Order: sequence, then C-alpha cells, then structure tokens
Amino acid sequence: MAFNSLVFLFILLPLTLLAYRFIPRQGRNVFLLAVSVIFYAWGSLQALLLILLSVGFNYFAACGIGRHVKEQGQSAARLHLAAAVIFDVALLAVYKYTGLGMPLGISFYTFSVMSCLFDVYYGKAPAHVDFLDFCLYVLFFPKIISGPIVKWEAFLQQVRTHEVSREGYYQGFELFMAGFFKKVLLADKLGMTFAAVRDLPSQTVGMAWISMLAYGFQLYLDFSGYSDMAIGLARMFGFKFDKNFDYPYTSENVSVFWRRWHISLGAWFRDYVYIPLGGSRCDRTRHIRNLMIVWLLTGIWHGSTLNYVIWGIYHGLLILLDKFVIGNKLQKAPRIIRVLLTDLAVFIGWVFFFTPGIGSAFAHIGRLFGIGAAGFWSRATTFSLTENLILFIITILCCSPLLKNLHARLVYKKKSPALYVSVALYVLLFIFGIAGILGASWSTFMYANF
Amino acid sequence: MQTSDMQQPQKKRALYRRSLIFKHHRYVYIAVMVLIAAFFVVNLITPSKDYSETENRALAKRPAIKEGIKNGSYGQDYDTYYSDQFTLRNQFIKLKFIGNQLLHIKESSGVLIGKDGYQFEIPEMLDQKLAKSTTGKINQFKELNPDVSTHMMVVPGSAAVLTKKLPANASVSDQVSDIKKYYEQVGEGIDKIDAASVLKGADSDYLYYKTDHHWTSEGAYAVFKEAAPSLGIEEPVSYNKYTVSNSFQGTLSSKSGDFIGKDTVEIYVPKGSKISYFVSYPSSKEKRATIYKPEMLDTKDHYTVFFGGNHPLVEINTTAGTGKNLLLLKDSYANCFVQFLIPYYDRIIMVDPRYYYDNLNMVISNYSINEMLYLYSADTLFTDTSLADALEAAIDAKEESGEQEDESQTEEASESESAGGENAGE
Repeated sequence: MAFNSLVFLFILLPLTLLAYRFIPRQGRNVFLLAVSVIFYAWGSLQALLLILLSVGFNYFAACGIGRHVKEQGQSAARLHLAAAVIFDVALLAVYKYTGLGMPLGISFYTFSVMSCLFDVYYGKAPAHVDFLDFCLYVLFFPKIISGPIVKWEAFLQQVRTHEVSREGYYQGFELFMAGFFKKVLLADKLGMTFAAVRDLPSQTVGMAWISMLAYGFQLYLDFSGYSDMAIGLARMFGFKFDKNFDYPYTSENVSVFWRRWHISLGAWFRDYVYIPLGGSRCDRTRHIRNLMIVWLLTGIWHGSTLNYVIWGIYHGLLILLDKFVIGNKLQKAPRIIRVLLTDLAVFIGWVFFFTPGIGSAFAHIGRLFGIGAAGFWSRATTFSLTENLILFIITILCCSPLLKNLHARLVYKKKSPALYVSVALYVLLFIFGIAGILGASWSTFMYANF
Repeated sequence: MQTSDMQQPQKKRALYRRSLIFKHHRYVYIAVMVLIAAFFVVNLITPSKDYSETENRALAKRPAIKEGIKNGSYGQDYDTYYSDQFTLRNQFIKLKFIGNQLLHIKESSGVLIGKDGYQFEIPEMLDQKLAKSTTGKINQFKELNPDVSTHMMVVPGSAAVLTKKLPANASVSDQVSDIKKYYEQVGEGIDKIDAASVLKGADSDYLYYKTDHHWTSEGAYAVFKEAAPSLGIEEPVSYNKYTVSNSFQGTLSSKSGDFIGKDTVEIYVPKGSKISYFVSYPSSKEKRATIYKPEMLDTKDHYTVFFGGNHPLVEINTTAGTGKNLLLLKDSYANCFVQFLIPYYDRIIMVDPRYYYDNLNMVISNYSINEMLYLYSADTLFTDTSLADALEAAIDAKEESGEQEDESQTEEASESESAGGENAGE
C-alpha cells in the first residue's frame, strides 16, 4: 500500500489511529506490527513471504552474532556477520539483476536488517535481540516501503518507550500533510510534465533543460514528500525519526548536498562502510579509495543498470573534486553561485536516472549544451515552459525554506486571522490532492523501484 | 535579576508562539480528519454503481476476498474498486481540472484546453509504415474492382483546422499536410476529396464540437456541398436544420474533466424530399425508417443520435432510383455525413472494419456495389489497422477464388463468420 492511496487515507489510517488510542500500552507494538503486515501484504503476498524469510533469517543471524560477541568477542562473530551480510546482499542482488521484479521496499529493508547485524556486531546495540522488537523494526509500516533507513540502535532506544504526546501527534500529522502535498500536488504533476516533454518528437536545447529540471524537482519532491509522510506518521505513534531531507537543493557544495539528501542512506554508508574502511583518518590514497567505494555502492544501491554505476562514480568524483581540487578556490565565490553550480552538477547527474542507457544519457547531456539538439528553442518549447511556469515557480519555492518561514511568520502571530486561513488552505489542498489521486491513473512511488 | 527580567517576556513569547503552532496543527488535524471520517462513512454506506456514463466504462466491483487472495490481487483490486466507487468521484475529476486551470496548465489528460470553450484531442501523427500498408491495400482493392467508382475522404481533427482556438503556443502535428502526404500514396484511379481545405476555408467555427472529438453536422455539410460534384451529385437538394440537443458534453469533456461548455447537436433533413428509406442493422436484426435514434439523447453521448453509434454493417435502402449503390468504409465521422447522402443513392452500405469480420467481396457482389467511399477521420486512419486487415482479407479471398474459378464456383465466402456485436463509441 502507498500513503497516497485512497484505501490508506480513508480506511487504514483513520482506523489505525482510532484503535491505537484504545489499545493498552503492552499491546501497542503487536498492534502496529499487525497493521504493518496488512499494509505490506496489500501489494503482494509473495513479497510478504520474502520479507518474513529475511526477518527470520536475520533474526537468527543477529542472535548468533550477539552470542558470539558476548561470549568470545567481536572477532569470533566475524564469520557469522560475513555470512549473513553475503546472504542479504545476494538476495537483494537476485531481485535486482534477474528481472524478477523488485519486491516493495527490498532495498530499504535489506539495509535495515543489515544495520541490526552491524550494530550488534560493533556492540552499539545489546547482544540480545528481541524478536518482536526486530519484527516491528523491519516491518514498521511508515518506513517499510521507502525508509528512512532508521538504524537498529536508534530504533531500539524508542521501541519500548515510545509515547504519544499531544504536541507530537498533531505535529506528526501536519508533517504528513506537508509531505502529501509535495507528493500529490507537485511531484505527480512534475512527473506528467517530464513525461510529456521527454516524449516530444524534436528535442531542443530548451526542452532538454525543461525535462531535466522537471525530473530533478519531481525526484526531490516525490522522495522527500514520501519521507515526510513516513516521519510524520511514525511521530503520530510516538517514534521520533530524524529528517531524511534538509533542503538539499540549497547546498553550497556536493558534500553538503549529500549530508542533506537521503540523509539516512548517507549515514548508513558512512557508519557501516566508510568508517569501518578507515574513513578519512588515513593517508590520502586510502581516503580516496574509501570515498570511491562508498559512491560506487551508493550508485549500485539505486538501480541495476550501468547508468547508476556511472552516476555513483560521477558523484564520487564530484566530491573528490570539491575536497581536493577546486573546493577552496570556490569559497570566495558568492553563496548563490556555489549553490547554483552544485545544483547544476546534481541535476546533470539525474540524467543518468531518467535515461534508459549510457548512450541516451550522454545524448541528453549533449543536448543540454546544444550538441545534437533540434535547435535551441521552438514553439513547443515555449508551450512547455509557459504551461509549467507556475508549477516550476511553486516548486522552486518549495525547494528552499522560504515558503515555510513565510508561512510561520504570517500564521504564528498574535490574533492573526491567517491561522484560520491557513487551516482552510490545508483542507482545500487536501481536497485538491484527493482530486489529483482520483484523476490520475495510478501513480506509484518512484523511489520504490530503485 | 535584570537578566531574568529580560528573559521573562521572551520566554513568554516563545511559549505563546508554541501554543499557536500547536493550535494550528491541531485545527488542521481536526478539519482533515472530519473530512476523512465523513468520506469513510459515506463511502461505506453508498451502494456501488455498475457503470460510469462520464467515463463510458463499467466500474470495478468489490473484489471477492477468497478469489482475490488466491490470485494475489486482492489489494490492487480493492484499490481500483475503492477509487472507482469513491463518493463524488466525478466532482473530484472536475476539481482536478479546476486545479490545473489555476496552475495555468492547458493540457488535461491528453486534451488541450483551447479558447472559447474549445477542447482539442492531440492529433495523431502520420505513421508512414501503417500508411504505406493501408494505402497499398486500398490501391490493390481498387485494381480488383475497377468498375467501382472509388472516392476517399480523410477529415482532419479539430486541432488542425481551428488553429486559432488552440491554446497559445500549442504546437500540434499538422494533420492537414499529413493528409496530403497520405493522399499522395493513394492511386490515381481513386478520387480524393480535400475536406481539410474546405474546413479550413469555412467561415464558421462550429465545424467541430467543443467538447467532443467529432465534427458537427455543420462541418460535415460544408464538406458535403463542396464534395457533391466529385461524388457525382449534380444538384444537391436543400435541407431543413433541426436542433436535437443543447446539452451535449462529449468525450473530450469526460477525458479532461472540463464540463463547463455544452454543445448543440443538429440534424439535417432533406427539404420536401419524396424519397423514403429504410435502415437495417443485420447484426442486431433491427430495422428502422430513420437513421436517427432520438432515444440516444437520453444517454451521455448525444453524437450517437446518428445510427446509435457504430455497427459492423448498416444497410440503407432508398427509393431514390439513381442506380447508384454505395459502399461506405468508415469510422464514426461518417455517421453524421450519411444524412446528406441519402437522397442520391439507391443503397448505402456502411461498413466499419473495426467491428466487421465478414468478406468485403460479398458486400460488393451481394449489394451490387458500384460506388465506394472511404470516409475516415485522420485520427482513426493514421492509427487503425483494421481497414488494412479487412481489405487484405478480401484481396486474398478474391485472388484465391480467381485461381479456383476454373474448377468450381467459389462457396467459401458463405462460410465466413458472422459479424461481431454492436459497438458504440469512437
């Protein structure tokens, strides 16, 4: 099931929230687990079987690792850890590369279970793993389909003690709404723009830019919107997950971008790959090697084709470039210039995401700069641009904290009628969102395919 | 002391601000949840509908749990069912259109929202490969039936004609020139009627419906007047015009969600004509003394007032006494054109190859066809393969029977399958 499906919004969500109030404390986690199973099984029963297999296997593996660590120390558990990680990665690879069709959320939950294995291995989490806690950790419905990839250690701190506060409850719902608007009102529309412009017969330079921008904005609003919904929902049940996006398109260099984009994935690679490899506390060659390994793996995580590998390497090189070559020189440039340059580099990277192969990726990048394009501009380009101008302006405003700050300034003022206007606007946008869902043929969450 | 005095009002302000934020979040929650609860209840108690007229399709029913789980499609089926049966579904679709208008988006689900209430289907482009195959068959069929005087009329969609009514800067493929290219591939022996030029030169704008993808009777009449001489009609009679509907909202409205404008449907009846005629629909064994089906005006698609939509084969016999028997191979654009043709033919056989699976040779011989007209909208002709298939089947049958002619008379034609069911729409 998806958060932006009508069955979730109008049946499962209200019933779950209502029932949760009446469930006694000790039964709450079991209840959340049951809801999560329905939520996940809704899409496919086979996928449920697979995830249960993964949960079962990794539970025993984590227990085994824990026992060895406790009794004989870390090195004794190394073999167990390696075997379990190989199994998990192999399972993921089978689905990624054999074209069997990716079970929903497999990239996300595989990383979750591995987080548990690592945390137990490194002693960040207790050696004893509780089965119910572990099941809820992997299957918890707000995060199962597309993250955030919460670490086991962080989840464990909350799983027994999560408590719904009135403030957190309403705040969570508000965040859910904000994410819903991003996903349904903006990202889905941008998706249509992207598809329409991409399919036009003669591609001008202008069109190459419009489709690249539409895709990059869509990806951000789609994914960050879905993350907001997930974090907001978890908050309504008393779980505090860290934010997954922090206005990444306002970053002044690529390293900062990656601390703000899909934060939970970056943290996963940092803690479980980069730092164990030695991180930056080693000589320069090793440091560079570590960075490139992380970026290669990040690329591979996102998709199965060669495009994603190249995209990963591209980002690795951008970071090296920034760290060792031009970063210092650019410091003197105004911030806005650095932000725009970073966005340019990042958006060009997205070309590898939306093109089917290497050839078409480079063809598109060529067209951005006039190589192989059908002219610079055309009537159809003007139409595409004017058609989407308002959408683009709203989108750009949503990529920075501007709109949010403005809203706060207007609304959270003494005796301001703006507060009621704002509430009415939320309701109106929600109704338009439902209209968007009903009007569109089914639009599934983009990032779930990765 | 001093510092805490300074902090006090600041702290108070922060607390007050926090209470405002809380209030806002709480009100949003309550308002949206009330809405969700209301829809939850209304969706629960509203009985399911079987059919959506607006969308012209059957709506999904509640899936059976046992079967759904067995197929593993229960969740998906239920999603479809829930969204199909959602309360105020049609109103929501209108709302989506309004939302698009607010964002100044001029394209709604493949429909361009033009000026003065005109909506346009994005025109189909000429597919050279398909065009080559279809025109090849058309030419071959003409060679096999050299005595049948053959005409062809391809009508462009509204976007190619009413270009001034398109949204600003919209660039659509030029169907007028595409039709010219298509005609170039059609053999010399076939008379090609330039409907596009007539329509482009016409004074009126109401040549096409604003909310539907068909041309109006007015548009068809404009073309008929110009085409009459080449069809061998020397002195066209004049017609009485009757308005049969003022409230037509066609397929483009259903697609785009723009239900603001309404269309007028007119019929043209020959003035003072003594010719009577008789229409029969073999596939449904129905017979009528008129080509109009006024009962269709009670349904959503008022364009189906002509013949009640598309049929595999329609047979019209008249008392005209001209000795001309016309085979019309057509799509739905022909349905409102035929009203002008009735006084000039003894017999008009309308065949829609999309639904017709019998042998065309039989039609030619059984009905003593001596005139033929291909009447298509460019949108159908540029995308549809059934015309080429029907012609190919007829050509193959004829060649085969030609080979066998010496040995025995052909009987195979009578073996052909019966025609398919009734089909409305398009």
